[in-house]
Amino acid sequence: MSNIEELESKLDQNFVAIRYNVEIEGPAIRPENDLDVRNILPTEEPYKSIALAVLYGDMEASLSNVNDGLEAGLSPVDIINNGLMKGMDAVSLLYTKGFYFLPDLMLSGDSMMEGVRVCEKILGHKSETKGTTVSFVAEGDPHDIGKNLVVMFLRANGYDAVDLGRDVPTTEVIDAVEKYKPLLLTGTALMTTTMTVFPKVVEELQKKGLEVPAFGCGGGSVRKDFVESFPMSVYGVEAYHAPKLADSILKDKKTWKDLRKEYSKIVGEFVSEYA
Amino acid sequence: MNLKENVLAVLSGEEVNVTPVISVTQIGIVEAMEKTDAFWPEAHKDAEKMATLGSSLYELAGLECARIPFCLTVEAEALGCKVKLGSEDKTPLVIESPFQNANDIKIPEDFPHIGRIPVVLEAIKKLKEKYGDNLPIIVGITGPFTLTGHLLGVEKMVRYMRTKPNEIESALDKAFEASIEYVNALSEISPDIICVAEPTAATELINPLQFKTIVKPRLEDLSSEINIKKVLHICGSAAPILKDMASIGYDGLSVEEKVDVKWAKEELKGGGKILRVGGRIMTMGGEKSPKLVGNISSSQTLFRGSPDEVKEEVKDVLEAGVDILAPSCGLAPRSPLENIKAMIKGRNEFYNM
Repeated sequence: MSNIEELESKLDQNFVAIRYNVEIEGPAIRPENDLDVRNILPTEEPYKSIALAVLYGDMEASLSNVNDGLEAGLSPVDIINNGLMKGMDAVSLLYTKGFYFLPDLMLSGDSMMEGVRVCEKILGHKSETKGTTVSFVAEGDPHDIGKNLVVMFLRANGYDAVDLGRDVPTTEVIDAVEKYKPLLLTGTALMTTTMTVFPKVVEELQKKGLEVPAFGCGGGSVRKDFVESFPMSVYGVEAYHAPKLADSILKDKKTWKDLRKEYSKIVGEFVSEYA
Repeated sequence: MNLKENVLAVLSGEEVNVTPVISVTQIGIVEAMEKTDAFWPEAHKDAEKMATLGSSLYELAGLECARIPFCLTVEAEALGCKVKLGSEDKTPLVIESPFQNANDIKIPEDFPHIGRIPVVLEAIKKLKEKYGDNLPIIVGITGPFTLTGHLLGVEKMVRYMRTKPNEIESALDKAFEASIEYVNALSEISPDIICVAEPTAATELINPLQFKTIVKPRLEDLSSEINIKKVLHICGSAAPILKDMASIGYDGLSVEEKVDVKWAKEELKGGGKILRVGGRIMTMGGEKSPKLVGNISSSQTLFRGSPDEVKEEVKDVLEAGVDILAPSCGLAPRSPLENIKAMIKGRNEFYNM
């Protein structure tokens, strides 16, 4: 014993790893146990299982849950609104909190959209069509993950979202605005080199006497003060904010000026960029 | 001490009198193209022009390095991807990949002799001839994870990381093989610094845990193959992965302005290798901590700010203790030359030079 004590004093304790004395962590928390998530998720079955499958990004489970629900005679619209969308709301929340990351958002999005597709097939039409939006990725930019998420969230929320794709020439954007008269136009860019397209789009729109209620700009290196340096634009922070912005334009006739001022209120959460 | 010795000394962990001001990321700007007559897209495929543009900011603004190439598509193109070279103010892009899954990916036998790889190698030789030992020559390469993203498509890759992890592992292995071959070819000509850029590993795209378990091991292996000074550049909010970046074995870490320099310096204190035991963080000793490179905003200050704003930011970053002053990410081609000059002037004023 004395031997060990003697040795111990000679050792630099900083380099001793003690077995079993592992880093203290809380118990593993399942996503559905998060308090705020619990408030969002439906409590009654089968909506609960449908939402949970989305929360876990499990496409197979999501599809089979949706099919079971349909067979049991539930209305497709209820399945979308009370099940699939609730699951996705929870996912968005966990993403905002920093527990979920982009891959989770994408896989959950896939699971939700597959379910929505099945429901809409039964309905024979879209669950609802609130209005048309147009989305594009700036010319010269091939990074379209952000745009795909925006389009997904808009479609899931009942918007007819026109997807112009990536690396879209400005003239094509102008033509689409002329053709669809969207209530929201969104442009995304990952690179500093390509975000300069946004003010050009606005300039071209103005030249043609065209206007959109709001032009949401966002993505990688895009920043709020850059976006607000030209008119018609609103800096979009997260992809899932897009349908909320569109809703406020549709229902409350908000303009880009209002959106800039009331962003946090409209999307219903604290947004540090707008604080 | 000349410019090259100065920057290498910092990366070796020595104290220097003046913080170097370089760029480990893309430095082609339109104003410099006009003044040197080395324009994009030609400068992407012509060694002479690449060398000229790569050293243009040293010649015109006093930036303390030459840096080539100007994109992250060289490896992907040599592996068979279709690349659009863009124009004078548009960077090259991978627009199409011939590969659907990991099994499809084949590394051509003479990989380091294909596409624009020989151009890069040739440009390094030209720069070495011209500047000898006075100017550090920095070469940027694509990290294995980002390269895999080019080969499979980023969106697919990010999905597969959760749904088909094995597929990603084997695709990564192939991309890694290509990276090694490229690094070996580079080593023969020996530029001064290799910057491994891994923009796709940003926390905006993947989970920090995925970085640790999937991306980091390859970067570690790659690091041990690079026998010259090496810098790792990761875009975006790198704060959650900074500790992991620090323990990979790179001499320098380049981060964007989203990472606070003061905070990062504190994090990097006491060496890269750490052990978390009993809620305590212990350094393993021996390892020196990597140097912090950055992080004057290339999307904001250098691109749209005034020279005075650039100087202000330079002062802040130097006071916060950055080891090597550099743009936070690749320069936007329309960045004014005045702002690059202001970056160097700001550093000089800080040291009363």
